[in-house]
Amino acid sequence: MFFDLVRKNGRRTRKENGIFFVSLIISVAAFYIFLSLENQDVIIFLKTMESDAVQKLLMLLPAFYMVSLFLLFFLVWFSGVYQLERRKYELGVYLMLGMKRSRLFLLLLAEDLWNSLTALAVGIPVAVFLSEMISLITSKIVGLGIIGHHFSFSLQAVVLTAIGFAGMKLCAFGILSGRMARREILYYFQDSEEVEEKRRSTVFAIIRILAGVLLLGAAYALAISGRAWAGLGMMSRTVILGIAGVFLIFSAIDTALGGIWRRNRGRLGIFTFRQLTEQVSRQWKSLAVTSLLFLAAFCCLAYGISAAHSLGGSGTAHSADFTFREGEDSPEGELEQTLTKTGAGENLQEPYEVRMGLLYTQSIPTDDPDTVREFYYDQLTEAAESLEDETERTGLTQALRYYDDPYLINLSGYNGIRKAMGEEPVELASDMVMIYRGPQTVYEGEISAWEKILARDLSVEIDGKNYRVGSQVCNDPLVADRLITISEGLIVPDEVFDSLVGDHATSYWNVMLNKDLVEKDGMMQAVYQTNRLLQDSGLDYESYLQSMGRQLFYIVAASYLTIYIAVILLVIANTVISVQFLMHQRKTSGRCRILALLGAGYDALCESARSQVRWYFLVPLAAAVVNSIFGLPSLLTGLWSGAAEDRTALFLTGMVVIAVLFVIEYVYMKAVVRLNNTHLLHTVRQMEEAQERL
Amino acid sequence: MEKKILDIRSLKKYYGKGENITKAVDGISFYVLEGEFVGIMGPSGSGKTTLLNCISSMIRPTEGEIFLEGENIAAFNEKKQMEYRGSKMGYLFQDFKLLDNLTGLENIMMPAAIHGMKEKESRKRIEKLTGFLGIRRILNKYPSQMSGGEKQRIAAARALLLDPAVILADEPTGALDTKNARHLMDELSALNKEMNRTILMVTHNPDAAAYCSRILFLKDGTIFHELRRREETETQSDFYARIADVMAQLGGGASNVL
Repeated sequence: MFFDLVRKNGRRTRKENGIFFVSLIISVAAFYIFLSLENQDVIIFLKTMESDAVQKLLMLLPAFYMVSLFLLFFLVWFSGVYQLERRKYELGVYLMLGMKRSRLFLLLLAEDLWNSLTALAVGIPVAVFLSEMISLITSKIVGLGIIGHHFSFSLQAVVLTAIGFAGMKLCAFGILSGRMARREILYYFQDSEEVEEKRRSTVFAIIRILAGVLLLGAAYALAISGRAWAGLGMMSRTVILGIAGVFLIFSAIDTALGGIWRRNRGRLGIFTFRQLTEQVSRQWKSLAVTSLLFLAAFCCLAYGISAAHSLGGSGTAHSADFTFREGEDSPEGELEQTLTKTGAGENLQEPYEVRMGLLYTQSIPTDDPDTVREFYYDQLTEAAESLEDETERTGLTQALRYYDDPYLINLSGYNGIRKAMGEEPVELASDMVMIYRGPQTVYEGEISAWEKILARDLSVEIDGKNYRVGSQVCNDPLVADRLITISEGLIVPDEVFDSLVGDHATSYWNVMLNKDLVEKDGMMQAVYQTNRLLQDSGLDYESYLQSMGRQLFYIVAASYLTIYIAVILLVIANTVISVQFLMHQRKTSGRCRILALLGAGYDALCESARSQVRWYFLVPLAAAVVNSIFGLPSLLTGLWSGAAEDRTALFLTGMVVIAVLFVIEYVYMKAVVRLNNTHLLHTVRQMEEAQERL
Repeated sequence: MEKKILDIRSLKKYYGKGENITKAVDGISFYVLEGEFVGIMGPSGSGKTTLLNCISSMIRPTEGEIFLEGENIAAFNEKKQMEYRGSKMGYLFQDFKLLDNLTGLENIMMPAAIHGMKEKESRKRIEKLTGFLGIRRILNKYPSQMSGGEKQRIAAARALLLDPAVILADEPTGALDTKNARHLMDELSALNKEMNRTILMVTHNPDAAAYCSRILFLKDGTIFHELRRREETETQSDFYARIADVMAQLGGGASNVL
């Protein structure tokens, strides 16, 4: 009997309360996906090359798990409050019939657990499916290919999801039950709460709104100018200013919007206006929090999606997929032999050699005085100092300070790189050198500054001999790994290189992957396969992907985490707002009955409710959108170190995200309207029953 | 001949089926003429409120006809019923049924908004009604800031705004103290006499019933007795005495049966 009641009530709750049940399923899915991150193809792949960083990320998961649980608590709490409020009459009847409070709460607890189990039973398969889809899509986007994909199911994630859920449910339920238990039985039968209308001063409201706008403006000024990112103290002050501003504005928003609501010309216009004013003025604190949650979700989603978007650009131009470093006494041809032996050779094109070595000058202490060369580049410095543009002048003068002991790079090696990248080779006469600047250290506008001074036919002096400096600046990557970079260098003809560096030169063998293989399996997969073949070869090598992997890791981590947080925040914000709206409607359903008595039909009541839902959702949402117009640039200032085009892309993504979110909100609003309409229909159609209770 | 505003014919309202049937109203017929003030009295469970709910279209009768100004409202569809509610019939309830988040004035104007009356016209009527009921100074107050008597007068103004054919009152003095109850009944009586309003009132209070011109006594869903006040010769207190007599016959004491 007890379990029958539990099952029956559980089913009814799910049906009447679909919106929260769906929210619960989404949360379960988000939880599982997050907890099973370890099994995602891209993470498995990253683990093979960036195991430390991945390990650090995975170590962060428990912290995120706790934060999510904390957020989830609110979801459970709000839907619990709504459930109990909705059913309080029924619960009152149970109590009046003599059911002990302990037994009543046992009943509710059992119902709740039953519903949670159902949510898990539906949510986990959905989550496993979504998790696989995300894994496959990410693999495809990053070029990992989907051939090596294995279906994965993480029992640990399921268990952790279930435990987290059950824990939060029990916790929220315990507090709610405690609150209910302290109530007098009469409370369960009271339909609508006593309404005490407070008249607020309009002047005071305007002052609060102005103060709020000022505070918010100050916060955004700090954030966009970048000062907020200077330190934790400054950031906290900015955040507090911003939150205080939002709260101040929301505390008076009912007065601000009252003028618009009052103009509502529907049949129940004045009623709609009063309902909205009452609800917004009472719930302004939760509306402010909801608006902040929306804002946080917007920013997270925009950031996460544009970060994910930049995953697509992983196959940019580069000079080598692999760079092998030859040992000092390794015999010639050993590399080719090893490559053939391991089978990796089939995947690769012909290797080419790049040689480089430091030009030992007076500034470097050395044991061998014979290797010390004299190097003078006064003409370069003077030319830089004579530049008219101040930014160019200071920038280039600074850069030249480190030119005392440049790296020398042999011309044929550098031309090999150019060829691999599909560019024209550089030509140098025997008395010429060219400036080389590492691609990662070049700052914006530096190349044009160089070109301005190099147009003047300058020369440098090495060991008493003058070399003309070519008018071009080279800055192509020299080796596969982006982290091994040379920032200041000179490209010199091979014979000059031999005479100046000689035995000190280091040889790097660059090699590209076979184009056919890359086309067939994708870049990542091709490197991955070759990597596996080379693992035990004993060769000292770096792959382009290793440096890519590092970047990929940051992007994947950033996008996964931010999107995950955004989803959780969105679900919670929407649940809070929906619950509050529906609770208010339920508490004031007596008013609808009166209106029905006065001749207002179901349609008119629904129209009024629709208008209320629209505004109730729109207020925090619109505030969040307005905030995000400033919030996104603040985020860009603080967190985005990418190029300017990426910033524009991020901003555009932000706008698209907002559009998508409006669609999500529309769906939520529709759901709330439907739920409320059912309630209204019940109120109006069953006048008979209602009348008996009135 | 005086016009019949309400004409109830063989009205029945049964709940349940087969052996478990409850006959709340069991074949009641009566009429109310224009300008009459009719009271309905009877013990608990006699069917007073069910009868009023049928007339006010809150519940559908099982059988029978209810003619309001010649139209059978029992056969109306929901849309037509909505049109009649609040416009052709005005209501007064024991608990006032005011919207607690609207001011007095907004409450009074609500039927006008629902039934699409022009604002200019409704303002004119409100001016007249609020003057008559003496509620002008409380129009901008919320119900929570009003006394019980004030609330009922606001409800009365709301009921009268659209000039309904009949006012249906369900224990209108039930939540008021003696002084306020008397005051309200004086006003209802004045409305009836001076403005020729037709009123049908359910009450258990003989004091309130003594203001009526005719009283129907209900017992077990049927009309058990009818009292008519002799307008020319009978004072209100004499009529009260006759009402008390009938109540005593009905069940051996007013406090016990009503």
